This record gives sequence, structure tokens and C-alpha cells, in this order.
Amino acid sequence: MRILFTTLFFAFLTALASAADMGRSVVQVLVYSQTPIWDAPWRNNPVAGSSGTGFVIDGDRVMTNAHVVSWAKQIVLRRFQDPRPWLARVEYISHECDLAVLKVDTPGFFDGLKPLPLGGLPKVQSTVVTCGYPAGGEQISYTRGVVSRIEMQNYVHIGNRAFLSVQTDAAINPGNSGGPVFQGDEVVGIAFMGTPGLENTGFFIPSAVINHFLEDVSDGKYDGFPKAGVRIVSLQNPAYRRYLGLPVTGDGARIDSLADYTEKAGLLKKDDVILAVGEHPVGSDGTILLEGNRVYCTTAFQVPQKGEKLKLKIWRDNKEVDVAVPMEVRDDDINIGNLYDAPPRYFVFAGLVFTPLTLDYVKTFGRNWRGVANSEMIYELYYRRNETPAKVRKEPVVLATTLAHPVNADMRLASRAMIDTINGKRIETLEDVIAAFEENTKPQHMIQFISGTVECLDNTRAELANPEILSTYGIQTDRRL
Amino acid sequence: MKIKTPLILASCIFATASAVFSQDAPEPDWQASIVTFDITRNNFNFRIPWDKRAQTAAKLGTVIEGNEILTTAQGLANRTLVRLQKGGRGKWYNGSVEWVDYQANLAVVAVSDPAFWVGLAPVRFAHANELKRNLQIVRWRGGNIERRAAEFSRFSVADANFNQAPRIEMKASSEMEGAGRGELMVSGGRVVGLVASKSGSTCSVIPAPFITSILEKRASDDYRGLGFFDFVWQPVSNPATTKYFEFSGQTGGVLLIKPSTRPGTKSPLKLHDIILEIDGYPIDIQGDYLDPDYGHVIMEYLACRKKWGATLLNSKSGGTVRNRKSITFCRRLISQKTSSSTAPLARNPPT
Repeated sequence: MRILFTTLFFAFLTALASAADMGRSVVQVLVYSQTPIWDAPWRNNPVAGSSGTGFVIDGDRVMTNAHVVSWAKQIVLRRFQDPRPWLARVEYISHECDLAVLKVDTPGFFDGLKPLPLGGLPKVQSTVVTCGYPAGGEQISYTRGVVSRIEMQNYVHIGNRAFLSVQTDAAINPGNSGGPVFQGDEVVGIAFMGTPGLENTGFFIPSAVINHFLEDVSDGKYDGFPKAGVRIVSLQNPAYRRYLGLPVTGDGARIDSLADYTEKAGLLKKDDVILAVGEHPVGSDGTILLEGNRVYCTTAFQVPQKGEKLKLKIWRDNKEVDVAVPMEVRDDDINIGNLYDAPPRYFVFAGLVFTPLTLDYVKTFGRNWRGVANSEMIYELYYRRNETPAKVRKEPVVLATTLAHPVNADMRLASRAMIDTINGKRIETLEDVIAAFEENTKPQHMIQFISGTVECLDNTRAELANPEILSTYGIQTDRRL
Repeated sequence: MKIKTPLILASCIFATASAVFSQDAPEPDWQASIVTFDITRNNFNFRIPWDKRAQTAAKLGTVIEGNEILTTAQGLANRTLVRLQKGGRGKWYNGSVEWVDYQANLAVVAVSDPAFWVGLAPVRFAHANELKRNLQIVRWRGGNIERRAAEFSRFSVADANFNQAPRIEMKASSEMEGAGRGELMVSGGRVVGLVASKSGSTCSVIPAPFITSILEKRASDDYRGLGFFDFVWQPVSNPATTKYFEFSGQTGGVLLIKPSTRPGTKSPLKLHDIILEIDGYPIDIQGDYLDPDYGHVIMEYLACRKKWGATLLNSKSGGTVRNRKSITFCRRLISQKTSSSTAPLARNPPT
């Protein structure tokens, strides 16, 4: 027993020494950023300062988290034990997997800095060391912990995508984000999030996700993670397995529903049973065995790049079928995730502020936005796409607010309402709103909301009021498209 | 200081006369008209639907004509035993619920034991013009009659307990603790209503005219539940909207934005019809009408005001109605051409 402790102690010292040596390639990322105000989309919040961590990778680049540099107005890097600030810029960014690659144009920044090599997936219970510039001090900080578990986790930066994630009890605090997680001489992940209310629960992005991102951008542009457009559920009900002609205790998880585009492609069908994804057999609970860890099979769905094919072994009509599914990047659910870098689109007419319906907009209702947003909004945002895909609008538009003025003072429904038609034109996008107003020659404009409520505006008075309203409320331009 | 005796005398006579003539009837002995209920009911667990627990509830009722007791419908669902006590103490008698309408929140209970009725007297209900003054809430408490003053606030139309059928409510404030279990609200010698609930110091009272009209319909076996409009409308206070729909010459009216919300219903009303009047009552731009009993209230109440689920038949242009009684009648104005049609009235049959 004493020998075991001695061995573990030396292994720990070796790990820390190795991490400390590689810590020279770890940089502090200081950011000034400015986020938009989604219900007053011509305005921004005040510029705020924040900090994170990054590390040098191949190609004279710095890797960090996307959330560290989102909405950045200025990015400054500080090297290990070097007081000089170095201006950086974002070269590639993936908000879905919360990763970004930075470039430093000033010569000399990378002098003496070794790119850190990426390793593989660490084993559960193995020791890792996080490294970065967390809050509480100025100097680089190292903390040791073990890998607690490995599984799919929702990435909070985007909010609506899940990727493989590694949980550790090593401290991951504000400022650690973007910092490397070492195991031996290799980076096995990037620290990126914690769980409020839980202690010693930090998460890092494993190298599989990092490598997918780096391979994606190797052609000079970021495409994103493709999706298969299927919902997979466990298949452990013996009666259901018999119904599908499968042995009661065998493998395979069932496709429960398909996205509209997957259904149209016709390669996959509801009640198909996925027996294997690539080389990984799929268990009846929907998991695969990945380097000794049981993780959800969608992990393997995230391996192909855009345009590549995903090989599936399917059980359909009582026989095995091999299917190669072309994997494409989809943005159909972009508005139910957090949006970054592109300021919100809007159009102001007669004091009526129109903007696309997005999660960021409804979150302006407060923490209890789910209880505040009306049912039409929630349905349009989350359910329409699945329940009535033929009626999906490309960009549902909402009347965000109304800037008070005599021309609109008689409107009863003046904010937080979904637009159905304007002057009889069905509103599919924000551009439709503009066209509907501009093309109308009748004395009144008629706005019909999805709830059925109708409001009208006097055409001539609205045109005359526009410049005054923009001036009164300090709006530079009536639209951002 | 000179005392002006004739003036004081005249004042006393006037005050006495006012006190006498301000009440329509002598104050009755409420002890003979208010009874106490003890209800045992099954409280079902809807997650484990075979599981149920016995629950008891206490409330109040009042004696009405025909040896029956009137109370609110609250607490009577899934009942297993209904017992009544008169005089605030003594023997309990078994009762049976003869009629209940959960939407109207009214129930009638019978007691078969003749001994129960000895000494009890039916109450008289107030008319519509007697609802607002000298209000008191009366109930049994601890074996004694408790009376507390109440003050009229307003009439409003609220959704029924279990669906969208509208019913009229009288709001009144009172400091009586724990009211809302069928206590009587009285004025002078008449019952103004039953207290159905209380929030803070505000009591919701089922007004007497609503109760009496339902009881009359029940007596004639013609009560078929409260009605409600199956269309959705919006106020039209925006002048641009009135211009757009070309009815700016009208002084009132609301815009129909969903002709029917019931599947399978063919409504004679069309999208964007303007509802100018219902049953002869002009509708203002807020959707209110002037009710002869309750003042300005929302037009939804016209769906059940003295109708109780009357079957509606077609009307021809010009407004001929064929139903023998209350008809919902809407004039449709489109492009300044007036036409007429009837609107359907959905029924909520009493339970």
C-alpha cells in the first residue's frame, strides 16, 4: 500500500511539473465586448471587460473558448510572465462547440512559445491538471483533479447543442475558460463550463470535438457540425422489440422521429433501428462504447465533416440494411440557440419595432421568460417545425415593442406579438415586413397578428411620423438587415 | 342659546321615517333561514386514479320556497354524504342534492325528514335595484348568527368554474373572516346573493337576480346550462382600424377575429365582421354593453343573460328571429352594407 501511495505521489508531482513547463504556452485573454439589446435592437449594452485563457497550437495560433471572445470589440493577449499586451483577432469561431482560434498579427508574439500537442480521450478516474488565469489572482494557476465521467452534455454557450464533454473535479472558475487541461505532456481538453450550485463539477471539451473543429477550418472556412436530423430513443421494451422482429435482449435503438429534411431525403424512416454507427454497435439504450466509456450514440454522429457520409447499420422490415447518410450542416434551429456576433436584424416603422423571433429576444422577458412569452411565440419557436413543417416561416417576425408616438397611440396590442400578415401579405421574413409596408397604397396599413388580433395605422401619418420617431428615440437607421 | 324645538322635532320625525321606509321589508329572523352543511366527499388522486381519500367540508345554505335548500356547488363534487343542521346546533339531517350546476355554481338540496323543516322559513331574494346598499353578510358561527357589514364594489363578468361560460359576479368588500362558503349577503329583509369566494377583503357574490332567473328556469324544467359565445372578438378603439373596416360612422362595435373556436361548427359569422349589437343591446368599442341590472359589463354576459342555452335559429336579413325567446342577434356590417345574421350559442348542460 505504501508503495502505491509513493508511486501515485510521484506521478502527481510529474504531472504538475509537466503542466508547469507547458504553462509557458498558456496565455491570458483579456476582452472588451459589447452585447446587443435584443428588444431594442438598435442599441447595445455598455462595453464590458472580461478575461479568459488560451494556449498556443500549431500554425502560430491561439486556441480558446468562443464564449471568451464573443461580441469582442478588442482582444488582448498576455503571455506567461510577460507584461506586454498583444492585440489578437478571431480567425475562426464555432459557437456551437464553444471554440475559437485567434491570430496575433504583431511579430514576436509566438517567439519562444511551443505549440501544445493534443492528446486523446482521458480515462475516467485518471488525473488531469487544469491551467489558466482564473479569478482571484493575476498569475497562472494550476489545479489537479480526476476525470469524473465522460458523456454528452448540453453546451451552454449555444444552449441547444450537445457534444461529448468530460467532467472533472479540478477547479474550473471564471477566467479558466479556454485554458488547456493537461494529462502528461498533452492537452486532453479545454476547460469551458461549470454547473451552478454544484461543487467540484467542471467540464472540459475533449480533443475529439477540438480536432473536428480544427479539421473543419483547415480549408479556410468554418462549416459546422452536420446533423442527421433524427431523434433516437432506447428500445428496451420487449414487446416493441418483438413487434419490430428483434430479439428481446439484443442491441439497437429506435428512430422515434425525423426532421422534415431527413424525412424528405427518404434514407431513414421512423421505427428504423440503429444497430451500429460506423464501427460502433449501438446498445438498446442508445449508447455506444467509446474508449471504455458508454456514451450516447449521437457522439458518433458528430464524427463526419460536412458532406461526408455517416455509415449506419439499420434494422428495417425484419432485415439488416446498410445506409450511408450524407451529413449536412443545418441552421433550421439557429434561432432557438443563443446567437452571437451578428447584431439583431430589425425594422422600425411608425414606431413599431419588428425583429425576428429568437431565443435571445424572448429571454429579454426575464428569467421567467417561459412563463411570460405567449403561447404563439413558444409554439412558433419550438413546436411548429416538428408539428406542421409545411407552415414553418423562414424567419418568424415579432412586434418587439412600440415606441410611443401619436401615430401609434391607439394601438392596443403594441409589443411581444407574433406577426401573421401585413396588408394581406404573409410575413415569412423581416424583408416581407418592409415590402408589405412599402408596397401598400391603401389609406391604412393593416397588421394581423397570429393570435388573430388586428391593428391598423394611418398610411400617410405613419410615413410622416417615421423621421420624427427615429430622431426622438435616437435610432440611426430604420433597419438592419 | 335658544333651542329650536320644532326643528329638532321635525328632524327626529324625518329620521325615523327614513329608517322605516329605507327597508322594503321587516328584517327576517335569519336563524330560521340559514342552515349549515357538512359534506363528506371523495378526493380522487388523478395520478393514481383508483386511490381516493375522504374529505369533509363545511358550508352554508339557505332555505328557499318548496322546502329546498340553496347553496353553492362548490364542494359537492364526488360527494358521499350530505348532512344539514338548522339553528346552528343540534341534530344533523341527511340531505340529497336534487340539482347542481357547477358552471353557475349553484345547487339545490332536499331533506326528506319533515322534522327538519319545522321552524324554517324561505328567504326572499332582492331585485336588481336592491343590490348595492346596506349590505351585510350573515352566517352561523359557533352556534350563533354572525353579521358583518359589506360594501358594494362593482359587477363583473367572470369565467365559470370549469369552462369559459360567463357568469355575473358582484364584488363587495367585507372583513368577515373565512367567508366564501355560501354565506348569505343580505340587504334589509332580502337576500342579495351567496358569497362564493373571498380574496383579501373582496367577496365574490352570486347576485340574486342571477340566482332567481336560474331557479325559475329550473322550476319550469327549462334550464339547460349557461351559454357562451364561440367566437373571439377584439375591441376596436383604434380609429385607423375603424377606418380600415369602413365603419367609422358607427359609435360602437367590436371586431370578430375568430368566427368559431369549436371544431365542426359552421358559424354564420365571418372573419372581421363587426358586431354592433347583440340581443338589441348596443356594443361599445370596448366590448361592453349597458345591462339594465348590472350597468356596464362585458358583452360576453349576453351569451347567457336570461338565455340558459336557448336554441338559436336563423334570422333573415332585417332581423326576423324565429326563436320564441332570447336570441343572440348580431348585425354584420361590411363595406357599409348592413346585413343580419344570428350567432350560435353553445350550451353547457347542467351536471
